[in-house]
Amino acid sequence: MKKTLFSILVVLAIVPVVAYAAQKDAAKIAVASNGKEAASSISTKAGKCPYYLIFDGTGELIEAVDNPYKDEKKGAGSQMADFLANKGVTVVIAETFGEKMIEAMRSNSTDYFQLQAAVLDAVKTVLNPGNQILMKLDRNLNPESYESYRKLINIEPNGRKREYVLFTTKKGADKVAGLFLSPASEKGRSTLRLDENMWLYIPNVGKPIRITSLQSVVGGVFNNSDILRLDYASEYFVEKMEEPNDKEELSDKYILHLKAKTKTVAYDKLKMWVDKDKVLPIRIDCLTEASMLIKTIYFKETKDFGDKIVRPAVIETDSPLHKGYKSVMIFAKIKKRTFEDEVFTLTFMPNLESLRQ
Amino acid sequence: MRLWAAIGTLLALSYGMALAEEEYSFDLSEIEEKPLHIGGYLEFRSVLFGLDKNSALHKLKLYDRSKKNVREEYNFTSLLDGSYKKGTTEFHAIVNTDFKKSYLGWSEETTLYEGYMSLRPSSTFNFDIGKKTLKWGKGYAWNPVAFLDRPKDPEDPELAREGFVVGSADYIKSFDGPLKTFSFTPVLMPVYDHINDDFGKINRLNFAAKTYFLLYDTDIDFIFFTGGSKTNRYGMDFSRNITSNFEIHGELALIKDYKKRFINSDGTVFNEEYDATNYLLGLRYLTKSDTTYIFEYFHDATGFAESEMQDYFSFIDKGYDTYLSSGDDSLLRKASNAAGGSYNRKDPMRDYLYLRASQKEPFDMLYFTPSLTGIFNIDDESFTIGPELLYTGIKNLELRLKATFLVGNSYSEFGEKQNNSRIEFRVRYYF
Repeated sequence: MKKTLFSILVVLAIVPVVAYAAQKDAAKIAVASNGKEAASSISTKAGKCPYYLIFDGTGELIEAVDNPYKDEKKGAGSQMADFLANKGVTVVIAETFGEKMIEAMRSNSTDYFQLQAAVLDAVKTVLNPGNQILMKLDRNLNPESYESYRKLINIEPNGRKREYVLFTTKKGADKVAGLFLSPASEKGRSTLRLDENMWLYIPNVGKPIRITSLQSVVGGVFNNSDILRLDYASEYFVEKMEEPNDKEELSDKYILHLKAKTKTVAYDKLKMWVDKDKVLPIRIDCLTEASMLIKTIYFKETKDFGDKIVRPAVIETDSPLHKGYKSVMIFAKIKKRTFEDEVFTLTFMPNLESLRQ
Repeated sequence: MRLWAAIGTLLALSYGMALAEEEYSFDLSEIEEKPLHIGGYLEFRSVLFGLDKNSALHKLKLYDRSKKNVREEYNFTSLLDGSYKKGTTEFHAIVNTDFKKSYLGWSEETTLYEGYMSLRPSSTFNFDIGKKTLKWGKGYAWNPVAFLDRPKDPEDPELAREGFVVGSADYIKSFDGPLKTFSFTPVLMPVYDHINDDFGKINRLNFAAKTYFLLYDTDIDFIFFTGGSKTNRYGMDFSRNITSNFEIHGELALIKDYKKRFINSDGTVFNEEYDATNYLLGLRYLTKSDTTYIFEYFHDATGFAESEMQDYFSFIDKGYDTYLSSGDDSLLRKASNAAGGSYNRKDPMRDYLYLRASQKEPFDMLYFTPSLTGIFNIDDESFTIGPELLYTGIKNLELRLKATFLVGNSYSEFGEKQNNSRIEFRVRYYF
């Protein structure tokens, strides 16, 4: 009896590993490259890059392809997406993709990642199962380019609240902008984040001033980098992943241990609990380099926002550094929307209101 | 019994749910887009001046007034900010009305701070025409490259200011790579009778432009101005975050053929023409305990040297002595108009330091921000120091209590101001 039980357990343990290995081997990764070697840099233009390097699921370079559409004046991206799908490519990596190429890849069920690295490093990142989960989680939390409304509520220990409403826009991995709609004392203020650069514009007062990720434009427990958050995968990489196992705590979730890619990122480390089925965050502990807890972020009330966007509508945070205080972020009207890059510039900051429809 | 328990549980649950819902309600009417928007603030500000009866500027400005140790002033201000949007066109206006009661009695002044039309055919291009403030430069207390703006008051740099009538455009382009943003802002500024006639020489159409780059995570602007209402000027500025809590910025301005008028202690007027190079270097630093430091050094080559200011104060003293002995105030009036009022501008001298330290919510005192601001005149070693307390605990209401003390030897800038202390209380309600 014991032997049978042991055999069943062994089989149960082996099956997911074999399945994962099979899935991994089946992956075919194409990377937009500036050269024909794996050490080349990733091209900024997915549609018109000089070459595509194709790797198998073990990270072995199997083919270097000249881009047949690099000189096309129009439609290079969508044609390239179809060309790669016909070659059996399941994942495409480039520094940036055009909207039409993204559309074509989606209809071909091709996964894509925007990464800035050497080609081989990018392939290793994508093949790391933890990073794959993180990138998937980013896409589940929000589309690459979208608009949303948020209410921020700072709650004091005596229950007193202070509320702010913002209109926010995001594009790609590094561009976020926000416009305050209320209260009256803050209306018209706007914030912009371009990678690690952040600015605050206060109308009638002055030009946009640089602000830092650790400050907070609204006070409370959320700081500027929480409010103008970029994709997790663009700021952190997965150092360690705890997979679902028999332990009650991990029966239906992953735990990702993330490390900041650079010193300029607001938190040195994150410990992230991820819902295994929905691939959405449940809780994040934000930590210092020495693993001291700065704050905990809880994701609640998963809601269908339409257009296949299903994500937590409420984010709560508390901090041992601000005992008794709590801040809440409520999301509404999350909508896929394409913006010009120029929307995310200092010069455009006073005009953000014109984007509201 | 079980039924009652079930009903009780259900009621408790629904009450709990209602509470939870109430806690996190987000009423979508709050985000409804309306074409017409009117906002702004109402403000009451009372100021108590501690007068320095022996100072040169007290003698100059109040020589024929009764001698008092203190004077009070009351200001009632409304700032109306309205906009109307239709398609890609937007109209925007800011009107400021001040009612003031001072030792001169009641006065009222209504000023159109801004009033312009914006056309935004795309996010790459936009055009503005009308009266607006351009706010060029990166400095907090001073902006030597803000060639088309009225000067800031370094003691209150965040005050709204009146703009000029301009026609301007923005062309914006974003890129991937080290250069992330480029933008070009050309500006036409007419200076004619009744249009911007306080800017400079009239009957001139001036042209200015600003080119902005976000290059290697650094904001960089190149600016020029030409046209004749003022002499040609060229400028550049930059701003960059060194770490996530440390920012540096700077400005450099070259003013060609600057004409300075100054007087000696006898009241003889001299003219000097030269190219003036003004610059500013500054930083903003946030500590772990939420203290923000702003530090700036400003060199203004158009300003007066220490000896020139001493000559001016000495001339005022002579004029005052003449007035006391003979009742003739002609020398004092000459001093008042000297050099087209340049002596009376904010920061008339050459080298200044600005330091502001503000602490957010110290000792868990919610919504209180105490701060301390100092402006130091390096040339004559006089200074002002101002503690301030800001309270924002009531929605849309801002309370500010600020004191300023002016310290300096005789014939120094802050030592010869007409008041040696000032206490100000301001209540501002936003709507």
